[in-house]
Amino acid sequence: MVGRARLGTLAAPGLTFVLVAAIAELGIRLAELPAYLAPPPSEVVRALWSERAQLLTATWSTATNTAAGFLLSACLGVGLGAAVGSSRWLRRGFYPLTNILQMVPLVAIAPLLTLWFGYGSSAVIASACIVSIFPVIANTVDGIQSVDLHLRELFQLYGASRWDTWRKLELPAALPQIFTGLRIAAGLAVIGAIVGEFVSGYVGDDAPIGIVILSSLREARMNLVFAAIGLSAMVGFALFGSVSWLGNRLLRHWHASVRTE
Amino acid sequence: MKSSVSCRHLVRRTVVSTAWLLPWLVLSSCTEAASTPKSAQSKTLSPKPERVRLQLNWVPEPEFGGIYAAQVDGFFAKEGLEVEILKGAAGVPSPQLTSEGQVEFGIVGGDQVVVLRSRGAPLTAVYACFQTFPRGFIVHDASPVRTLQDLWKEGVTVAVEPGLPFVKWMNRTFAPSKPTLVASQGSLTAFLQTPALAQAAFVFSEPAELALRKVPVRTLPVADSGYDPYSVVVATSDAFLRKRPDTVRRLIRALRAGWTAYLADPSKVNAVMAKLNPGMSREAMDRAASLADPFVRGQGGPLGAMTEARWKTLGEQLVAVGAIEHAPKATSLFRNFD
Repeated sequence: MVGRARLGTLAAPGLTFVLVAAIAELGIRLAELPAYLAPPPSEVVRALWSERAQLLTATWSTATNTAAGFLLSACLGVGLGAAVGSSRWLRRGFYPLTNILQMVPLVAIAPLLTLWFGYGSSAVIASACIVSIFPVIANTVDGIQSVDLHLRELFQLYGASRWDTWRKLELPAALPQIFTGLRIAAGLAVIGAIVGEFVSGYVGDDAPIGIVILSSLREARMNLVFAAIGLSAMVGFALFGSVSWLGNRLLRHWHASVRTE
Repeated sequence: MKSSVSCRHLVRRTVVSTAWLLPWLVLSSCTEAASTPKSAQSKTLSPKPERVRLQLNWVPEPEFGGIYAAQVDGFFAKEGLEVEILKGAAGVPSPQLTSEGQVEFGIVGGDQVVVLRSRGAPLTAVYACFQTFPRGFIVHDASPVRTLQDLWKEGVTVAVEPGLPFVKWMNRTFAPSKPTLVASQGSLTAFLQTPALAQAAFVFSEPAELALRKVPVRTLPVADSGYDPYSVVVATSDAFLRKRPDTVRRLIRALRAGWTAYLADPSKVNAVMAKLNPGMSREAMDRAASLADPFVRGQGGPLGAMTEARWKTLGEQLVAVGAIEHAPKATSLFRNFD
């Protein structure tokens, strides 16, 4: 029964995707759109195959930098969020400033990242981290603040230390919200990485997805543009899936949001 | 029959707009907001003065000096044209906007005309603002790099805009030697901070800006390598060219007069462009304009005119570097007007 449900969970988006692709293929062919404007999905698949070596290298480069940026934002975000959530002074003084991170126009500061971190991975990782860290901080803070007051009082009543309270009460209670933040961050990290690549990526045979997109646009190879965009989405999807899987593993035995009877 | 054609046309326009959305959103995240092409769709061409739009592919700089001169000095108006010059930015798809009729005229690279034409786009070059390819590389004066051959070697880092065919040409010409290529969006900040960095540039524009900042640089023109396409090309769609050849003719006349005036005295036009583009000072524009003359005039002949032989050579070069599979017929790529 559970196996059939899982199959359904996978089949539904898969079938929807195929249906949308089929409609797009039909629409583009009926409208006789030129491939330099709107390539039919079959042309995108053809580009995925014919340029597989370049796209694999590009995807690997973008995926590793995205993952590194995401991990950095996860560690820093949870750490900062925990500190801010546990301290009234930090919450008043520091938390409003973290909101700035959300409002920073990455497009404007991305070139500066190149100056600060140099060309290549470091700047791309920094870009991915900056874009994705805010939801992690915000959700961690909210999670810690949402701990049941009665439980807090219970811990105080039993004389639990600050460390024990954090470790045994606040962190576990905040985990569902932390994972919500991490799932949002997973998608944002890809966007940050691609923007970082636009300004500081290597433009050679080992170019990342962001550079492949820019190069292909210049050469009017729209099938390759869409193939690269699709692959960047897959990177985000894989990261999102990994975080969701980890969240389920950690929460499934006790939290209502992922518990299965 | 007619209704099925118009229905197909409607579907085509709708799907084109939708299909463009995705890459446009990706690009717009890393570029400044560009002029909205949609408003171009609702234009109406009235007979007097006739309104047309000209989409630039970059911000106002001396490479467009003659175009702005045609407006400032009234040459467009004299030809009965009201030309709206739309500022560009990095990533603005000027060739596609032009070929699909979203704007009447667009500034494109010569290579883009060949590439798009080879993919079936109805795009035709009608005026080449630059007869000699004005792109090149700048290196700091203290750099040991003195020639293109010195530049295209391991151990050198060169900042280039991704996808430029002349970079592929350099790779092919100096193979197997290859420098480390990094992304550039045209800003000079990284170049100023990094003495060892070389950067692709307009050979008169960035060096002029840097000279004013007292940063001595050496310029290595790409044309020296044998890659010498027409540049800053005014293009239009085949449909517009077929329907309104007289409009194109009048625009070309105005452009020719504009460039002649600009080369003679660029100061007034540079003052206008400096207001439109605070990123480049008027002094830098004056200096750049003084260096642009040989690139605009080339080997002589009427300003803006093009030859079949040069388009043929460009097609062959783009095939050689793998940018296209087959070169389109050279005569299909351009049209000269008196």
